[in-house]
Amino acid sequence: MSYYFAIIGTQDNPLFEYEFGSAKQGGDGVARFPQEARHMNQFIVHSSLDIVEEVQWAGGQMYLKCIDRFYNNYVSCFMTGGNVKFLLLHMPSQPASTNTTRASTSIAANPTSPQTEEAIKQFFTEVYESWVKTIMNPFYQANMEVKSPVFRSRVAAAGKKYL
Amino acid sequence: MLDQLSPVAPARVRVVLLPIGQIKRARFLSFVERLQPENVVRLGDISPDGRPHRNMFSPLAFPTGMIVYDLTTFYPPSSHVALSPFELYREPLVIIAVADGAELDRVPYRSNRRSLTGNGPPRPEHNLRELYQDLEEVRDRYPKALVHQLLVFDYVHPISAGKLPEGLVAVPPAAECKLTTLKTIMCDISSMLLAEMTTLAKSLQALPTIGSPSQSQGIQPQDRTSWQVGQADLLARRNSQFSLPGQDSRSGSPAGSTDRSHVRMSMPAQFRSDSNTSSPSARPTTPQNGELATSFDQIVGPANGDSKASQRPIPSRLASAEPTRDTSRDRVSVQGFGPGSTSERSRNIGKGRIGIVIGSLYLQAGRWGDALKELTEAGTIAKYNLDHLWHAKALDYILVSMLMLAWTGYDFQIPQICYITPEKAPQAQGSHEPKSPASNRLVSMQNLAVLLPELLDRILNLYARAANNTGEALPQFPFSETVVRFSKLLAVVHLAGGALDDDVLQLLVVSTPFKKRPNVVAPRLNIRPTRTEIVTTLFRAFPTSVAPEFLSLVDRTIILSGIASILGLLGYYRKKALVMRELVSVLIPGLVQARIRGAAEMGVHPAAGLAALNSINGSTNGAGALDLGEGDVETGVDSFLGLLSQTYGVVTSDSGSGSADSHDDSNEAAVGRIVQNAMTRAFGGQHLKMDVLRSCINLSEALPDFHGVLRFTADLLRTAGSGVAPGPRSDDASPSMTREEQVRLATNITRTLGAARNLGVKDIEAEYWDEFLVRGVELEALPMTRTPIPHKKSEISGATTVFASQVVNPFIYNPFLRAPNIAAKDQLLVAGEGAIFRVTLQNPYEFDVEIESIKLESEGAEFASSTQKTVIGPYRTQILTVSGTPKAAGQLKITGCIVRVRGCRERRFPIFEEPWSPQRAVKIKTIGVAAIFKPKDRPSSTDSKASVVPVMTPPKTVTLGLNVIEKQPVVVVKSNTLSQSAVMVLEGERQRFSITLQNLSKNTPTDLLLFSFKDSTQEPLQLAMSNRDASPAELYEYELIFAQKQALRWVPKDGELPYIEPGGTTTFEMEVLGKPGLTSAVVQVDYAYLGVPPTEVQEKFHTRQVSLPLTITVNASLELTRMDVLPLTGTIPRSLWAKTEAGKDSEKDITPDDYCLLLLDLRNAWPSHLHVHLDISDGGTIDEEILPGNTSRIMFPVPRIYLDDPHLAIPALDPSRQRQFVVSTGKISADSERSSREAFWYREEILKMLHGTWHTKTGPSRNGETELRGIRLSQRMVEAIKIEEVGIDLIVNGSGSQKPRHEIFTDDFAELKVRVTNGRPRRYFPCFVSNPRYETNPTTSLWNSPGSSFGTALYKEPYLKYRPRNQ
Repeated sequence: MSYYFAIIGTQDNPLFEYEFGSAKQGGDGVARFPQEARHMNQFIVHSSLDIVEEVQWAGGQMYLKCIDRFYNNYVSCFMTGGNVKFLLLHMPSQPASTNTTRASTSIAANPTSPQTEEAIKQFFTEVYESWVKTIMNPFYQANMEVKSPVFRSRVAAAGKKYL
Repeated sequence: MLDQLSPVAPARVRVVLLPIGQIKRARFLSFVERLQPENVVRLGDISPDGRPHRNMFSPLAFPTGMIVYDLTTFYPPSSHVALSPFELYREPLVIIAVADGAELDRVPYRSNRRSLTGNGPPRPEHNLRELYQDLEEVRDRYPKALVHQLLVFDYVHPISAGKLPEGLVAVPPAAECKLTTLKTIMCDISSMLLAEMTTLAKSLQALPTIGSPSQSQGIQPQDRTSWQVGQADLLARRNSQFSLPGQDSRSGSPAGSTDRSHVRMSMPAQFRSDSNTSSPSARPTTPQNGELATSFDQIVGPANGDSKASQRPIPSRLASAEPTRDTSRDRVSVQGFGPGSTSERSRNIGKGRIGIVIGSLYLQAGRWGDALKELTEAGTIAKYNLDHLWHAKALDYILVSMLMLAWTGYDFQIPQICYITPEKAPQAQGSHEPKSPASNRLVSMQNLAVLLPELLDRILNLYARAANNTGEALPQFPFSETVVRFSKLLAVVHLAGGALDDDVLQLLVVSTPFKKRPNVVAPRLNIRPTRTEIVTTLFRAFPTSVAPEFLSLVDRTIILSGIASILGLLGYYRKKALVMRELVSVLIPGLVQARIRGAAEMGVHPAAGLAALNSINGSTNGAGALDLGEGDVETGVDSFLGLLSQTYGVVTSDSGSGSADSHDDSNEAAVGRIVQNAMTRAFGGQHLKMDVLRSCINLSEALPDFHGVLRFTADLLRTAGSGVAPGPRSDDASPSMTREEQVRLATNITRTLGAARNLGVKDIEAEYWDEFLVRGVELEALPMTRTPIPHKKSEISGATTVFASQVVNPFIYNPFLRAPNIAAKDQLLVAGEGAIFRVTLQNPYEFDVEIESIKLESEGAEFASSTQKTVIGPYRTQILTVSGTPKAAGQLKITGCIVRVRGCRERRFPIFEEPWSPQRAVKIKTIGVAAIFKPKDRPSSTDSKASVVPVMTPPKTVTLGLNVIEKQPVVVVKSNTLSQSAVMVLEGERQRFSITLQNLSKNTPTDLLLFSFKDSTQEPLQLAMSNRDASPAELYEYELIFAQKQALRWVPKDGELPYIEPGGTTTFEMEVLGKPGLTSAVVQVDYAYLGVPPTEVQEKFHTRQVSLPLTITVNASLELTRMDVLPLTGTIPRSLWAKTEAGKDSEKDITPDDYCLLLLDLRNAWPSHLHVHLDISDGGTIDEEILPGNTSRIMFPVPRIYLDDPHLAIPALDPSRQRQFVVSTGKISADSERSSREAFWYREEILKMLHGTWHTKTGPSRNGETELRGIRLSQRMVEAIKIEEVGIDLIVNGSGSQKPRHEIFTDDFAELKVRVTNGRPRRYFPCFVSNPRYETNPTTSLWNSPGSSFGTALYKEPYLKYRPRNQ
């Protein structure tokens, strides 16, 4: 499974972007987006903001689960208190067949299984912690891009750990 | 035309309007517009066709039903037509040819080859026949349409000319039309349509089954073949309708129309029935069965398994694409007999399918109740036979029928088939049967609204399931279209708050928009169906990118645009943008391909293949093959792409509010745009923006839409740019784009311009991308001679009095001598004279910006700016000089520059001098895309804008304020009498020279000329005067020299007023005085044209200055090297006395005591003989010749001087130093102060007495004054010169003071006379004490020496009055 993780500010502006692959089940942690689909990631994530803005009011949860889907791309979302959106686009290597009887429990194969949801939740929670620490930087202003290499490495570590 | 993707599209009858004959496009479009409002026809208004076999769709059965026509101007693409009869509504059933009656009277539009044959009927008549021929051709070309009609617009058929040919209907001009004229025509057409529908339905019913549309239909360009098939079948079809040309069934219709015209909605019901009964008789010639029967045989033939079937071409409409496969399937159906078998099932399936198609015909015919019934029946058959595709279709149609019923306000029942299980059906129908119809309808609608999501989902799933049956899978296009239609239904219901009400139905059927735009910004979570669900459903329509070959380009664009429009409805702008971007990316290759193909067809270069594009392009946005003008299409594409890029936060030049025509370049607009741009720049992701813009550029290039290319290229540059006005070394203003790309974009603009010019496209221009182009405008300082210097009125009066009195007091402020104020001078311009401005231009991009023209924009006084062109190099600011000429006096403001950058619109740029960069918003006011779309939603917020706190401090525009004064002359020094402006004078010599001034201006005289002078002595003098340590005596000396010994002076002629006429010259005389230290001098002439006498000058005036520098050499002439003053005692030789005036008359008694001897050592430093002449005030004169280099001592007695008060304070000539109480700052004692004052006053007295001149005896004649101010008096000299206040003469034995020594004898009396003189005008009361002393011992003298201690005597101020001596 390939992942594209983006943090989006309140003005639809990307604050942080990171692309990685599954490190579980023998994955090598490298994103394998098809070449022509790769630049679409940003667009897909951007388009799912519409849904985010709708669902964010539905419940008090920060983790909104999988909110959108475009072809074989699934988008999970996590809202912070400052309306900063963590969006994780995950694309299984094979298209998830909707009518298979045996629901695969592996994170890599089935993007909508509860296991995957849980893993993504853990990932988000960990990133959220690092995020809060990062933006407590006194020089950080709202909607500013985050360029901290430490934060990037933390996100990478969280990705490797849970996804 | 109506929305093709409307949920109720199946209930419409498609009409194609074709232009026919000679007709102009505009006329055609206006006719189409006239027809457009008549697109809904009530069945009750239609008179039924009387023929017995044509009453299956008789309008009488359901008079309140309606036929909704979809008036289009293009024939649908073949892939769509091929879907009928599965989706019968796709096929145009009515073809209306539109002709222009006005053209009938003109030259025959066809070539004369036909009309040449003899003397035919008059021209209009003839042309009508031509039209009829054309109509026949149309019938031949579109055989599948049921009705072909030709409308001759703006044509009144004369009754005398007989009937119009069959199929032609005249429509009088709009002015002569009654309200119902067009309606009547539409009703007639409807009547025909309904009649012909019967034929169609009958033919359908005769079929055993109908094939499902196959997957392959979508892709194969089979229009050719199918049309050929159609052509082959032409005769048969045509005969079916028009068996007997001229007098057969259809020809009866014009006759019938006279009857029918009585039967209108407004007529009473009885009438209607009457006319109905009469109508059959009106057409007795209608063949009862014969023609119809044969036609049905022909159509139905193959299905009957007739032996002729294989040879006979199959009507394309009824057969699917591949005839072979169709026949094979048919054969199966024929072969298989027997209950329960496959054939039984397929028979049932066929029955169901035919029922469904018939139902759809009912639907189109407006008989929705019947349609509902028919469809429910057929749908049930399909359901039980697992014919999923048709089952779904039936449900689809049922839904549409219900919607249409609901729209007309009819009660309807939701059929059981719509529920998954019968139990789920609401019990409402059963329990509350005695209800009013209205409330019943409401209940039904409510139920339907509740049912909708589930029902639609089920239909879609059924469609999807159909793919399991071999060959039955629904092609992608109809599936996607269905999804879009359903989603639209859901979306509209959602927008209406989750209820199905009349507004919704109006919107669905006739596209009447909601009265109040629903708020889609706020979350709408509680409205069922939720937006998220709708979007999920909608995205099922999204064509899978993996299989592009399953969907043609046109279909794909239609689907994508449909999806986008629904997303827009729902307020999902970003999703919409994603779809639109997809649409763009689909369009680009298609367009390129089409361009190449079109170019190949026309044999021209691809870039020129504009014409081929219009049709393709038109169908994307639904404009159809209307063949819009190039401009029409472009605006659509423009705004479409604009909307796309706006969603991503692309920084555009037009700030979202549209109205691209009215470019507002005022300061406020520019500042607003900058702030707006800064806000959008902060919005969204840079990558996305640039990616989208690149797509837009590609699309525009593919079109080719040069406007679009330029606009989006400019937008891309603008987006990439930083949008700041950088300071000298503060911000990084470089754009976030590689240098290569910037250069490429720049060349792209040039290339596009070139291509456009080659194609003859004019005035295409982009919007320049950097608002901060002009970073400063300043006035280049004029040359000193041209700079006008402002003066106040008071200054001129002072100046004139000074000149009048001829005594120039330098200590009175002379405004014309002072250095002009730099700041003030900068803002002055002279009317009619050119000025040069320095314009600072910035270019933060990495490519050259070519400025085709730049000129200054001004406000206030009339101003003409020159036009400049330049190239600004990459990443720099550049200074350009632009000249301009103010034409009139007054206030002038340079407010900006009007710049035309190559490829860009000529526009005004305000001046932004201060560096500026946007500030980040500290508080978050909006979330997401609302920030961009908000101002659009509230256009009326202009009033409240003032109260809104600005988001960031906007950049400041500056203006250059200038003062333009009246025309002024220009004066130059034409010549002077000095050679090379140099003069040599001797010290004390005065020389005259003259200056000639010329007025260069053609029409302005000079009437004010003021001369002021500067010389090299003034500077050190002023320096010395400002020295605080200088003693008052020195200061006085300096001031005296400064004030009275002016080096230069104007010598006016008597009564002369300085004036130079335009173009004239005037000479002025000057005088120079030789002074030590004088090396150079400047003659400054301030001149102006006042136009009035100086006393009447208004507030202010301005002068200009011309100056003439002079070099002066001053040589020493006569020097006073030494002087001395000696007291005279004893006997003086008579010759000495001769030098005094008093000495000339010898009888006067002169005493040496009254005089002192003045010695002057004069040296001749000039190499020629000098004659010195000294005047002494009491009349004496001394003449002396001095040889060069010699020193001559002149001795002469001068009377001693009595000064009343030699201790007066030394006066100050400078009025600024005249103060009342001055504390001496020096550290000198009171005594020395007293003595210096004494020396000062006595010196002054001496100088008053003496006046010396000199002149040369040999060489060039020179004369001058002898400078005597060099004398310095020591204490001794003062003693010698001053007369004591009290004089004492001792006369011993009658001999006076001439003898210094007296001899007296001891013990002898000597007579001592003491004469006391009082020099003062006051009375003394002396006390005389004789104090003799011995010669031998002076120190023990008893007498004080005379004069020394006399002062110890007491005196008293007398009671007499004081009388000054001179009275």
